[in-house]
Amino acid sequence: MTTGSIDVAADVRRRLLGRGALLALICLLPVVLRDYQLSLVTTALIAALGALALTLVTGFVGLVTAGNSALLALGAYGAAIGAVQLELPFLVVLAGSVLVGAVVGLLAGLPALRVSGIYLAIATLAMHFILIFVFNEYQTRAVGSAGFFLPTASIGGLTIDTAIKWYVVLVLVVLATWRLVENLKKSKFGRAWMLIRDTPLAAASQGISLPAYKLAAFVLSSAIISMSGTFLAYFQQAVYIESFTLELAIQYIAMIIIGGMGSSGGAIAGACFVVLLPPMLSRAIALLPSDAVVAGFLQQNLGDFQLIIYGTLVVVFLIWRPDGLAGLGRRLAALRVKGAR
Amino acid sequence: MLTLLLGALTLSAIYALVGFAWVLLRRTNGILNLATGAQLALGAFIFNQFATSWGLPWPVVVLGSLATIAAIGAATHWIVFRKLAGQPEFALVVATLGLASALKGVSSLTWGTEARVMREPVPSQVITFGDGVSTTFYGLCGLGAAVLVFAAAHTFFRFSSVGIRMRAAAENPVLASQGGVAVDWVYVLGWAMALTAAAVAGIMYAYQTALSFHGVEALGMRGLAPALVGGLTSIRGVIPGALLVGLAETFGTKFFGGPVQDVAAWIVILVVLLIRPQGLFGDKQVQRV
Repeated sequence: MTTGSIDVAADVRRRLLGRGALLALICLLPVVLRDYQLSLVTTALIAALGALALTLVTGFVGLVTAGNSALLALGAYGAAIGAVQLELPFLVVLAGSVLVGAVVGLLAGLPALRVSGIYLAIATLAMHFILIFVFNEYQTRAVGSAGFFLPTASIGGLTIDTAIKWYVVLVLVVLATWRLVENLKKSKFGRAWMLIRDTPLAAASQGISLPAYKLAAFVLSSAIISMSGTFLAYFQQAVYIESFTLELAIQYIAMIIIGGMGSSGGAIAGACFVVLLPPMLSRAIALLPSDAVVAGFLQQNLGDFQLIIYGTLVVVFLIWRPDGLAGLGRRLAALRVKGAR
Repeated sequence: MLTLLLGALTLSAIYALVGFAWVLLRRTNGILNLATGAQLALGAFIFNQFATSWGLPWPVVVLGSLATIAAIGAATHWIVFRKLAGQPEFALVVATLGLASALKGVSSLTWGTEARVMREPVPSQVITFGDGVSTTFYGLCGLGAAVLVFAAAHTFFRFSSVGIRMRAAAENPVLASQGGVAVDWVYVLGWAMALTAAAVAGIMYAYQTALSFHGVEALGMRGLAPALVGGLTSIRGVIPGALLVGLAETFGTKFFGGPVQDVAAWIVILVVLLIRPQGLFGDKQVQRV
């Protein structure tokens, strides 16, 4: 064993190194990637927002929610209504979707979290089917099955119309959200949440109000997911109901399971993995000889394979590596440090 | 009006079967199984494979699909949930979500997503009683199947030694295994019974409408409503729950139009959560943590 002071110094050095590497990566990506690839990264960053929000609820508090897709839809349809019907500016729409997300989270979470954690899964499932139904009806009446087309987002006089601008905006938002989640983890709230997750009885005996703390986590995460839905809508400039399925909600859960429950860095890694897997698979299939029957079959059924891969990975990670990629990374780092000494 | 009520009743029978599957797993295996919809669809498609695609004789169809579905149930326990024993409850729920996604992919890959018509053992016909009250033959079949399953379940859990062992294992797995109950086999049996009940519901529903993955999967998910009304752990409670959901869906569709079918059950769930989250027949939760 080494003394504490050396450990702290090494820790600080490692952390600075990590930050430097991250900053270098962020700056490097737009230089080396083409516009299409940068857009994929931006999509992954938007997904990372949702994954960070799920880390709060599922990772810290240990609650299951199936409402991710519905909350994304809420943000997206909020954007459609705000931007197309009411012609409000981007930032106002964004603030509105955060607010509406929080309110809906409160309405769905309040009845469920009075009882026990498992009821949140039921309530969010009901929320999913009801919200999707409502948006579907609304879309059919307002514009028809093609869905809504959104104007370009602009902040003040600055329009966000290129891949690089979107990338910069999303990098800033993800970093801020990451910071928020990390700070919350270290705060009184984070400690209470994790105590609730690990030993609810002990938490209750410490005077922690379980329903209130659970609800706070769920409301905050709902607001963030709704916000990411608005970003997604403006980024794709299109909103249609078919994209918000229950399988999408499961994809978000896959992100945090693969990334490592309770680790915010893991959530971002998991989001990148889940979003970037299909295009990479697609590229890999394209490398196969084009006359091969297998290649055509794979390409045609890519969606089905995605469902199978994500579902299987969720189960496999839960069984073999409940701490996900983050745990794997920590283990590798520990090995290296041990080897160095 | 009476026709409508009869329609609600035959629909309730199907909901009772799906609700039974939810409650049985929650009670015996302690799992809130969000893959019920996908598994129900899988069961119905396996039956369809035996009956329509391969066109086998009916006894072979029934036995073959039952055996396959039971084997899938056993595999679900041995491959997935046995490995997750001792993990917190939310991990089990997340695993069922992963399972739902994977099963949907497998089913869509194997059978596609378009609706199919299943081979019928006897031609479907409208049956009329007295003055204009009518239902379909398969509606009555579903009703019969539900009555049969519930009567069998009642007898099984009350009188058979295996049934009593299952109840013991559900009550306290550790004590039960100390007392010589093979808990793993109880769980396997729980999966097999739940999947079978769900598949029967899916098959009856498909005979009354059509077989499409989306349609039967949605039915399986909506079956959570009767289970919740009954309190999630009470098998008897499913029956009034199913009646309530059947009525809500039938009259909701009648007064507000067809699309309401998709949400009536979910609105029932929200209302129950608001008013009486432990359900009408659920045990009062002693541990309120």
